[in-house]
Amino acid sequence: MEPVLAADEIQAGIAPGFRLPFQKLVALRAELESAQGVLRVLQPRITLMREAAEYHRRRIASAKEARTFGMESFALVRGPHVRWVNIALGARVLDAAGIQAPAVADRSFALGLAARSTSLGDPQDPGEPGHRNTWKVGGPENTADVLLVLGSDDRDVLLQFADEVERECLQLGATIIHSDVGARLRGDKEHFGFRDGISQPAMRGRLTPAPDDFLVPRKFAQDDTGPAAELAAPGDVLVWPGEFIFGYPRQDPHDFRAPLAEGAVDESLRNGSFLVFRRLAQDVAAFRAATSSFVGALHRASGFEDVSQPWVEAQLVGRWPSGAPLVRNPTADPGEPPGTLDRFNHFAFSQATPAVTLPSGEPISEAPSDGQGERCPRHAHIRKVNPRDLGTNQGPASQTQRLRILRRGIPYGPPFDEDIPDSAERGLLFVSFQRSIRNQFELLTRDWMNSETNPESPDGHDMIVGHPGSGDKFCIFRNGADEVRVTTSERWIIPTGGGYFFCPSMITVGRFTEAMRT
Amino acid sequence: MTRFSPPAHIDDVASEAVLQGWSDKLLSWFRDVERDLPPSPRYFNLLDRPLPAGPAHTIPWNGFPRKFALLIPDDVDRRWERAEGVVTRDLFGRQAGFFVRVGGGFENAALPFRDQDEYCEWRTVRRDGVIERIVFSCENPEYWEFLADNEPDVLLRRYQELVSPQVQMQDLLFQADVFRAGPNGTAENLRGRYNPLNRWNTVDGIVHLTHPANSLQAEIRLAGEATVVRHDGSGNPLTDDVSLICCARYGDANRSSDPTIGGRVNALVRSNAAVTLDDPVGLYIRNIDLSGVETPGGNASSWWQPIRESAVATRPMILRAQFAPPAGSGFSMSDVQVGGESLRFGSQLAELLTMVIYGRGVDESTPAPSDTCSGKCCRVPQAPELLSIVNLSATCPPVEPDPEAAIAATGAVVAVAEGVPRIIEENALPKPTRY
Repeated sequence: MEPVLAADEIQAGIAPGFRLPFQKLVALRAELESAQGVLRVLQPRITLMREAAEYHRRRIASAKEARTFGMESFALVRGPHVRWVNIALGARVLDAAGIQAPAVADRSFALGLAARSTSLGDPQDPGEPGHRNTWKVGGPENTADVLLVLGSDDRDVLLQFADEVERECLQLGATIIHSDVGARLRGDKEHFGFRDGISQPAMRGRLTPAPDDFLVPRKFAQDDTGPAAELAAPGDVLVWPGEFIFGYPRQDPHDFRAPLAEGAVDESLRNGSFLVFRRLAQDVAAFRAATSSFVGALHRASGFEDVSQPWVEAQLVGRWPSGAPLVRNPTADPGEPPGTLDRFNHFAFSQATPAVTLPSGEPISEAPSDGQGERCPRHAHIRKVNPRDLGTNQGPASQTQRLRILRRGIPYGPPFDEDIPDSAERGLLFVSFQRSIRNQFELLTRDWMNSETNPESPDGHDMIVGHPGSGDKFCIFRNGADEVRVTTSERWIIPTGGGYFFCPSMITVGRFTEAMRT
Repeated sequence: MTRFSPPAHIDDVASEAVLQGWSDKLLSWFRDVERDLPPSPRYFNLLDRPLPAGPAHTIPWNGFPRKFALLIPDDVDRRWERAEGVVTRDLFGRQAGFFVRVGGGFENAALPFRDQDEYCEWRTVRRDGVIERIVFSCENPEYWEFLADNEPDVLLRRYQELVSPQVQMQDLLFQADVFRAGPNGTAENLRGRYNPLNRWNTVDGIVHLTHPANSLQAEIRLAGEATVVRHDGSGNPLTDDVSLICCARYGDANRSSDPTIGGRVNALVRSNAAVTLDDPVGLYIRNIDLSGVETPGGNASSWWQPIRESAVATRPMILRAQFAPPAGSGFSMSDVQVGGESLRFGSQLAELLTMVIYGRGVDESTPAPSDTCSGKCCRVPQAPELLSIVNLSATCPPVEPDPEAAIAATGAVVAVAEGVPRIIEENALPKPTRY
């Protein structure tokens, strides 16, 4: 039986996630007294799991009725526009409050993002773009103590709400280091033009003691023999909540389905989660120029005379711009799916995935296996960050589920106009939640995305997001027996800020506001 | 190809006859495994079935022992320190396969080894408590025993070069009656023979692998046994790495290496390939991720110094490497930051190592041999995040988590389901080719 989650204790950003079309991240520098003041003021307004889950249920029910999905579905929800807020705290201010457990639980959190930056492949040379000394927030001299995540279904409401909150923060003695407004792009694409967020780990857990009141809705018939034992929806593997939130059963490292009992947990950690924020600028023009040069290199090689730029970019991502995965659609983008996006997530790599019919009646055909990377290259982004059912350098496939993270990012900056290229700043406000920054986010980044070899074989780096730190990155394109290695020293995703935070439960928020300086 | 090469084509030996001797040993190990497999095996060796040169399947795994990452996930200092210990029993109570005579039987000689079981071992060399260098080795012990038997001068010279000029030949040989399992159920007295767990390879230095699971024969056997397709009780083929290793008992399910290697080999066989280990057969360090290693002077790659490796740049095969200040730089290890904190343990770097073996596959049309399970996995009672593999008929003990006991004690800290008696009959001495 899956555990009942403390839905009135856990902040909504962790799960089910804000998912709102407009969000603002505000990074504050604040001494303990100021931070306590900010939290006292905002404490009653913090949006919790139950409220967000109920809101999204209403939204999705309306969306199904109207057959309107994605960000347009928010317009269907009746009632006033929402004003949601979540709060996360940095290591320095938690330490000042005498709350040591997060720093003990995760050394990387204690050290902070700036110290760990080069481990993530960021430049060591202070003269290089992306070096931590150049960051807008989160560098050695501008580390944030408090991160506010604000959200609304309406842009103007968000901006007004953010103005009010920021004014209050300033009055309480906090300094705003930096803030960004994020907005979901049309079709839920990121700036390079690919649909994002199709695959997420499905956190197990119930909102109430009712046996089927799951936080993450299930799309398969609930029996012990079908895919429901492992999946909430096609491709969405059920993961025990202790991988994301303290105080719950963890994922067994040897068995996809089994829980592993959580040991003793400090009360200040319980119902909390670590938050990683990375402000990642995306240079779309540089990305297009690079993939164009890859096309040129491929055209000069045997076996690749007919490849196109969309094909090359899809190889790097592992999906087409629509989100269709190469495992299912190896030659061309099929465009928007006739049914839901579930068919774009119904695949694995090691084993073929049998055809299913969802309870809604939607049939999804079988997906072939691709153990050797003949359809989706081993360097493709989606394969690097989620090898699904493959054994990896980290161990068996069951271990892979222990590296999953809950991604809650949102793009910022204007969409890139391919016809009128500009140099406006744009990118991704990457946000993820996990139980361990070191064993999840960092391991995923360092050991898989930035590695030319891991998790499977030396076919190159994750060219979209990964970077080996210094030197060039490369990947190998294969077409039957033909192969071509392309190399670049370019960075088209440049870190420009961020921070490591702890997103506490309401009880810990209360304890923080009452703490005396240590 | 007419003979197997030494690991990484290393040039310790010039004699054609001795090189042929190494090749013969490797061939015999392959054939031993092939003989033990069901009919029509999908495992072969490159001498009996030569292949033209071609691309290899690279199978990577992490160098740091996964068992410690599972057991001590958060307290990194404790994990790093625990993994560096020289022990006489590993985390699972396992001892090296050397014995002394006691009364009518044999008792384990309790020789020291490193509790690092991913075919990668390291030693943090300190002087007066200050780190001088960190040395990594993945050299298989059989090769060094072969050197001792065939090129003792080379053996001594290499030890003196790699560890200390003080090394004497008698330091490297058993000076008393020490036994291991010999052929035909007899005990083999090793007095005067090479002691792979000598002081210069354990407490006072590192030359080659010491953990009882870290052998080349074990690797050859694992790859071979993984070529058998396994079925569950309903006749369905097993495809999951953990299910396979528990069923076939070809290694340790808690490692990064064994389940991954076995799983990849088995997947190749299921896709209609026959499989072998490519020449030169060996276990190798592929690379270290230095992106988060910040050194004075800003060039961490000059601190990573492969010492014994292949000259073939297209296929990294490092047998031994050290991390140390570049010669003449005047820098010290205390100046190094790893992931934002000072370098205090070799473990910090071991977590950044990628190991590899190289395999070859060839299409096969005959059905792959298949078998049912001979084993299953139980939870280790004190630490249920760890597995022990037992006979299919065994009863798993109840889980009674006590992670502190598992972590804190040294030596045999975790009770396993199938114990080993203290006094062993001669014909029951464990074979040295165990995983």
